[in-house]
Amino acid sequence: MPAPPSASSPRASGRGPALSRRGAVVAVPLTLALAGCRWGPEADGAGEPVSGTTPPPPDADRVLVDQATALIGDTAALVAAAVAARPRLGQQLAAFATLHDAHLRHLAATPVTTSAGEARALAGVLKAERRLQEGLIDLAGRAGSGILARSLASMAAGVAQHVAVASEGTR
Amino acid sequence: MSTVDDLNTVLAGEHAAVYLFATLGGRTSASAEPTLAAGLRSAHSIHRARRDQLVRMVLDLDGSPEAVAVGYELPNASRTPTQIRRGALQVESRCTALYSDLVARTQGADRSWAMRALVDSAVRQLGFGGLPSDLPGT
Repeated sequence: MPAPPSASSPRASGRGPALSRRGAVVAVPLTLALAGCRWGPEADGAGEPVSGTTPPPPDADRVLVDQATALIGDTAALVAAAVAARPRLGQQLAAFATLHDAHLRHLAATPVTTSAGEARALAGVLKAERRLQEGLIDLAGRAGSGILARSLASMAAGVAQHVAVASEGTR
Repeated sequence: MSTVDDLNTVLAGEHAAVYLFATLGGRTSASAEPTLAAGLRSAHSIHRARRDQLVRMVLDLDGSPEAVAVGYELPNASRTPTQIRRGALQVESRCTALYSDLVARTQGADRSWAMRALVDSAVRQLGFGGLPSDLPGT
């Protein structure tokens, strides 16, 4: 999952002013939200086979990042639960929430998503989608019905749009 | 409707697109909005080429090419970059729809050409803030 726009410049923990109670209330849900978006069954690089080939193995560093994210997320959830149960601890534990938040942001911004494995998988998908686009164009050209031709050509145009958007991230 | 009429319908749209992209380009600062300006220049160039191609196609069928109008109405005020981008998207979207119709009404080489134009126009929408859709032009 790509880093959120606000995650591009993680704030170093412990250098800023201590969070107010209100700040802690804001920071904890953010930490949970960030932690939550890293959890789940997503197996990076282990998607569907591309063009009948064996899917590339998950990138080792990506697995480590996911593990670190889950570890931090678990601890952040513990901190959040403690603050929720004992609100007066909020100010005292705010630094931990800020720390975990900063670490999660840093991990999210760590450029491990451009691994060779992912690039190959993406290239394979884009190649297959372009083949689909050309295949639809070819079928549209042979269609006896103008309505069918328009539908198939429009489908090809839709594929082309999505390929163009997905290709933007590879440049 | 004959093929000449179908081609002339799209030609009328391309006349408008050429005029409107030129106008929108003239209202865009290349230094302040280089990406938008480049997109408008590219769009103007490709639509001018398509217009010329359509004129040739109509003439090849012994038809009379649709004449250019005196002027065309901008889709919005087109005073700010945001308005210009939105206006350009509207113009391009209309062209996408025209080529989609042309695909349905043609066969052979004309249909192939219309399909390429449809795909190009659909992708060009993205440069003006358009979002991918399932069935562009329909």
